[in-house]
Amino acid sequence: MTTIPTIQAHGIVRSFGRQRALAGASLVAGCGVTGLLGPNGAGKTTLLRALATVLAPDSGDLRLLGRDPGDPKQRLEIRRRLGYLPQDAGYQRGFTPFDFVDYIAILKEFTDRRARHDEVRRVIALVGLDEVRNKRIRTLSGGMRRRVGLAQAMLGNPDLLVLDEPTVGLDPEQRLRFRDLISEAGQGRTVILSTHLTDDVAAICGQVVVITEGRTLFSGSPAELVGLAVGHVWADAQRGTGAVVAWRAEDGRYRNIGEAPHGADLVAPSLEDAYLFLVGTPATESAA
Amino acid sequence: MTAVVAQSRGGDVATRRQFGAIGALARVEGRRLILHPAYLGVGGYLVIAGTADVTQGISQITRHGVSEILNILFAIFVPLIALFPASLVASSARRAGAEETLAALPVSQRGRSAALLLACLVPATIASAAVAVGWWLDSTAASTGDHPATLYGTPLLYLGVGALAVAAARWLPWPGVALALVVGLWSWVGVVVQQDNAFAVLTAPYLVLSDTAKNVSIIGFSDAWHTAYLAGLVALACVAALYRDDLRRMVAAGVPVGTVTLICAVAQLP
Repeated sequence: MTTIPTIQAHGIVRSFGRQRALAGASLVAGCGVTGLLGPNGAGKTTLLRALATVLAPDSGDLRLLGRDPGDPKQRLEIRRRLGYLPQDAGYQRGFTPFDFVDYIAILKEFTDRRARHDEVRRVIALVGLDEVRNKRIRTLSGGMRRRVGLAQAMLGNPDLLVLDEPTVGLDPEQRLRFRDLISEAGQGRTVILSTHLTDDVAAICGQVVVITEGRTLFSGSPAELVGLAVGHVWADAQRGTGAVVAWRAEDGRYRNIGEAPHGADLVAPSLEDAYLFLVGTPATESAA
Repeated sequence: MTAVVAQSRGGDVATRRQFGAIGALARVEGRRLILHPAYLGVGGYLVIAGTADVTQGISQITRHGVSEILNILFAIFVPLIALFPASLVASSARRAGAEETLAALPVSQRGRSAALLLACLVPATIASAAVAVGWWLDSTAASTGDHPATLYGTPLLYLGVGALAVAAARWLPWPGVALALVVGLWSWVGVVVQQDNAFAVLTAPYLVLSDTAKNVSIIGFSDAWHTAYLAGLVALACVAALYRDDLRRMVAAGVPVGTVTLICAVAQLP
């Protein structure tokens, strides 16, 4: 038995034509839930696609579960231990949740019919879709469809779970349910999820990685990320001149994030403040 | 942060598991094919139309009559319709936007194509059984009997259109391709059968029967070589469907199969 990080990605570069989506992104993650934060177009989805073996990087060093996804045999071994929920997961017309998850189970090499159906029923129950498993997917709500996607990703208890914005478009109750599922999934395996929602990261992630413009800006614990913004968030009656980001809070005062002036009324930063401080500050040198 | 890396799950088992998955998928895809609305719609129409014909006295239920109907339906019309369900099933993941999910799974697109090609055996078997029943009915009737080439040619027609549909779904990922293929095949056959050129007539992708061929230019052609030529076309379509993402293997498999098919195309000539 060897102990090595599940994901070792160093200097990953990937371009689409002239557009460079990843410009040397790095990510090391092990057991637990890792949140991937970044603005739109930062390269989160491209990085996750590389981690899901769907997209080969142009250059860089990538090892998943101790194996090289560039080698077909090792890639197959990775895929056998991988669960992936893409950002825009589609479902074949006419399929029920059971049909779809069963179809995926076959493609995950569950060849014994009885064992496969047992596993399909298990993951469908896990995501709470037992009652609608024989209804057409197209008749289900957006949240239920996302849960169908999560169910297929959970098939076979994969060692690595890659989830691209799993909570987008969900109502607060469904988001909480998803958080609970993902948090539970993170026990004993590696879960990496990309999101715009810092609340989700604060709630369930033991590690957070921030990427912007295809590069890793920060990698560490949520507490470490919050620590970066200590002394950089203050409340004022006016928008601060040194603020990178500022908005008017419900008490009528401005919450400013940036270089706080001397004597400013400093407040405790949240994870969102820290994230905004990080991505809003040009040439940040806070990468871990 | 570190994770415990579990033991690797064996090398030679991989092949068996992949084949097992393709077999299981073929069964599911076969069921999807025969339960496709295109087949169910045509089946329903045929039952209604046939019942109406019989009740109105247009058709008579005789051994020869039933045999003719079975032949016309399953050896001529249904093979063309068979292209639609195969094409729609083959392209369903792409049309649904599910390709991204499937791309991260152990069974690749090639495995899925292989499963679908195997699944085409289901409608081919059903149609062949129907044609065989027709052939048996006709052989027991006081008539000349159908040419036996219909028996071994029918599965080739179904496998051929199935393979063509899968290849088209992989190479031409656009809406309306199935319809364009059907129109193209129909036009191709329709035009060449009237030509006075044996090579053109016999290389069209359809089953020519020596006892019904009215075109004088092909009198005396070889049934066996013609069937082998059709089998070659089916194999070429399978190669195109399977090796969409591997040009080197496609050439390696396609060149010998293409050469043999060409030899058969020439050998069938009168």
